[in-house]
Amino acid sequence: MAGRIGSLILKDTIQFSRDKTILAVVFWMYTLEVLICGYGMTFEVRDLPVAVVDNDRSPASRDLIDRFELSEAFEIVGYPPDPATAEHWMRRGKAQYGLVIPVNFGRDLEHGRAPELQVLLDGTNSNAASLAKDYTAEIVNRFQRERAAAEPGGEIVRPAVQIWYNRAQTLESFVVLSMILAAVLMVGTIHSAATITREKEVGTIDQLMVTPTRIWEMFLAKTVPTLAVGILGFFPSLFIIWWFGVPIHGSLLLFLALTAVFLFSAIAIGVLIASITKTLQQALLLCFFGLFPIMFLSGTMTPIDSMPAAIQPWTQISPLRHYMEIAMGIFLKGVGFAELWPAALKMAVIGAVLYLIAAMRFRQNIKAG
Amino acid sequence: MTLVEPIFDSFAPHAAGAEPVIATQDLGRAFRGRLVLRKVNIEVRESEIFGLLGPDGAGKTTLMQLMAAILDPTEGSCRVMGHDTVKDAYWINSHIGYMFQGFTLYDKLSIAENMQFSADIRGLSRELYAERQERLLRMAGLLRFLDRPAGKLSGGMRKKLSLCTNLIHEPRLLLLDELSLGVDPASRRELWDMLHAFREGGVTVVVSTPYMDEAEHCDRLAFLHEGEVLAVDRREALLERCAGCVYELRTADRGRAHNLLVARPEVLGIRHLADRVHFQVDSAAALAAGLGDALQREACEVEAVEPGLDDAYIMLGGGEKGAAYARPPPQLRLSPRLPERGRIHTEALRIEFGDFVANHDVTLEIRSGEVFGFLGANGAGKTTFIRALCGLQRITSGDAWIGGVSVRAQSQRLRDHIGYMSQRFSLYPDLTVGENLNFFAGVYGLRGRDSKLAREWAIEVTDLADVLDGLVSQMSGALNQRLALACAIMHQPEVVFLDEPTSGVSPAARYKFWQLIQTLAEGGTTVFVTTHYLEEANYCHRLGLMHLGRLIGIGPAEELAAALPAGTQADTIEDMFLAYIRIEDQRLAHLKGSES
Repeated sequence: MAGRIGSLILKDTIQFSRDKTILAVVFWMYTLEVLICGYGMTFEVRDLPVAVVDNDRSPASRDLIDRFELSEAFEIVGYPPDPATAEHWMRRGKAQYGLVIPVNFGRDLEHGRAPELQVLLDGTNSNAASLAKDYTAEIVNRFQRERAAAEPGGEIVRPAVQIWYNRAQTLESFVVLSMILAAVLMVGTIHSAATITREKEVGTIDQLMVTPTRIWEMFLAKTVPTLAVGILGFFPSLFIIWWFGVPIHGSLLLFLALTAVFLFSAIAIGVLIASITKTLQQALLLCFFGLFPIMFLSGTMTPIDSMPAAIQPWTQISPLRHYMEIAMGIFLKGVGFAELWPAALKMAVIGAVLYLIAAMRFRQNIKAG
Repeated sequence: MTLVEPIFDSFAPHAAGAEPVIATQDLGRAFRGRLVLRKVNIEVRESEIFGLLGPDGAGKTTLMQLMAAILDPTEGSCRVMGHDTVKDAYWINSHIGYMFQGFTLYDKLSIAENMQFSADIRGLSRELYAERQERLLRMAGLLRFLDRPAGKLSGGMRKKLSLCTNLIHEPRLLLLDELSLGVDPASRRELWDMLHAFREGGVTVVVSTPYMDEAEHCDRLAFLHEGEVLAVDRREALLERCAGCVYELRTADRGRAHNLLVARPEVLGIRHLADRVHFQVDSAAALAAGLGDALQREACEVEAVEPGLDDAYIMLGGGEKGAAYARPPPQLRLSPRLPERGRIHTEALRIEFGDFVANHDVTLEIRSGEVFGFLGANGAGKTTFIRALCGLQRITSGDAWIGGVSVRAQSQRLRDHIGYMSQRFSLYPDLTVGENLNFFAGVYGLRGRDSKLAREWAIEVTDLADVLDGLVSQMSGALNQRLALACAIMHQPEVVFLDEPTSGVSPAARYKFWQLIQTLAEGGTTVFVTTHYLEEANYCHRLGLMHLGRLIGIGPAEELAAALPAGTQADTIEDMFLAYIRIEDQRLAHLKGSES
């Protein structure tokens, strides 16, 4: 019956549009929150305080130290006499990075023996530490290349690590995108769970269930407006994407279409939550408990490859994992539907299964009173 | 019935002619710039039971809170036991007992712990507490259940416990907001017996209630109507004011009689009872001055009747008789009617929740076009029964049929044919009145012209035309009730279920509501009403009496009363109902005795 479904959808749309708080929250999650995280979770390393222990004091060691001094990433804060003092400085927080140049560094280089540079890193901020490592490799590589060029007889003593991508930029894109994806997830799940439990609280759900309305019709009416707002909310996000210089290598239209599929599964989570809770408060709490594992399993927080092998297959049940794959693929790699359809299919299956369970729960609960 | 002894013998007798316990002077209170109470001038005297009567929204709770010094007045002043409620709020708070509407107990704490907590926050000594706790709980009949958590008590027991916790510091003044909300008739009697005992001991009691029938327990009453006091007097004096102004008529054509009465300015209110029409006129001479002849010409039998407090409330409020008799619903293209129209019958309908049996094998039959009242206390199983018939509740065994169609087998098919108005008036608060109507017309599959006709009719008969664009969340309870009814009848169901439809609604609004119910019944719609407000039984053709999940009596009110053993007091519906409950309780006790 088109008339009945039309009435149901119209009603839910009016309710959504009248709830200014929810609309403001949706806007916030899609834009300002992403902005804050994009800036807050920055991975750039700047003026990292460095303690240099120069045991060689040769022209070569001076040259290397100058290169650290000139880079934006590092700032030399002092020259402790020995590695132990450098360590002490790092514990006190005076330095976060220690560079120990061995005795005979210059001579070994000239004679083609590979000298060992010792680098001490403060691992408390692992991201900064790993970036500092990358920068170090970059500086040392260039140092070696240029010295080799200047002295044709000299040898390149260590294999060069090629840094062919701007790791900070990629990480930033990753953070911005994953925050937007998380916003889509939260809007879909929380809003659908909230509207249904609100009907339970007010008692309108009973009123609906004595009308000829069927459960799937009610689900549809709950899904459509949330889906529409979930997609529309993405447009202000585009501005944030542009602001952070996130590349868009693939088709935006394909991304929006697959976002709809993802929202279908996210809303299904919310509907399922609503089917087992009685009050809005319970539903919101359960949303939080439910959303965390979904996010953990998605690879937003820890790369899936670094998860324990036993956990890795479970990431398949997180729709956000597939959505991540889709978003990263479209934005950063520029792949198309040919590569992404399996992920889309998995999301659709997850959504359909959840809706089915929710419908069964509803039928039971309503009858059980 | 428990016999209650006076317990506050320690109180000194009050001096005659002393200052009243409560005196208000032009008292008024505004919320967000709107006055909800104005120009209240009342005096409550020492050791009297003073009743505040009025529908929801009349300002009862606000007035109570002003007296309890919880709210400060916007206008005027209020003195309680010689203290000003603004300056000495703390003194008043700690010297009175104030029982909020609803329940204010800690569900997880036992009876003893609730009492102890209440004593501790008031700094009562251990000896005093031990002695009073026992006395109060014994009186309330709760002493046996000391360790039971408050959450597991019945409504009546909770209310009594609530009262006890408020009496632990032996206040001289008790303010009780909606004392009998959610309390069964038997517990209600016990509560009143307790209050009478306190009064004997010198305690002053102020009680608020929307139920007129509770006024008989009060020494004096104030009628509250839309924030104003209509009258303050003894019950008998209030009734005397309406002497000779209240009549009832019997006629074959209610509609004609109704419209005739509506057109006469001297008629103040019209109330459609099951088999007669009850009305008030503005003076005792009105009938002789033409109205009587006019009614005679319409073949109405008119007789004068004893006025009730409802009559007094209507007359003092200036009357509000509503519009013309509701017209029958329009012709629509509806789904094929049920084979047996609005007939309802159940056979051994049983509903269990775990170990708890909410409905014990209920068998009954209701004819098409009948107004059937299901009477019982909260928790008697009325709502469960209705929910089962609506397909909202799983039936454990037995079955129910509506129009000959099994609820168990085909509840989906029945949905086009039933209307359900739940206790909570389940509407969408963030939609307007008009949007709610459009929505429900839509979900019932009414379209185009049908939808328009159905909505126009519903709006007209429930008198909603002026408020269509208002948000439901900003409407009064009475308006919500009318809208809920409109939404439940637009699709012309063969059976309408109304769960506690008029609790807390003003008498005038209740009259209009029942007039519409009569129209529906005349058109063949079966109306199934649950209520614990026994006065509503007067509107029903037949009654079913529910007690602890069992149907303990069914039939017209007079027949039920006549069937009681000779000599049983059953002048009112309440007495009759209580007599049935007593017989049932004896039967159950006997059964239990013979089992063990």
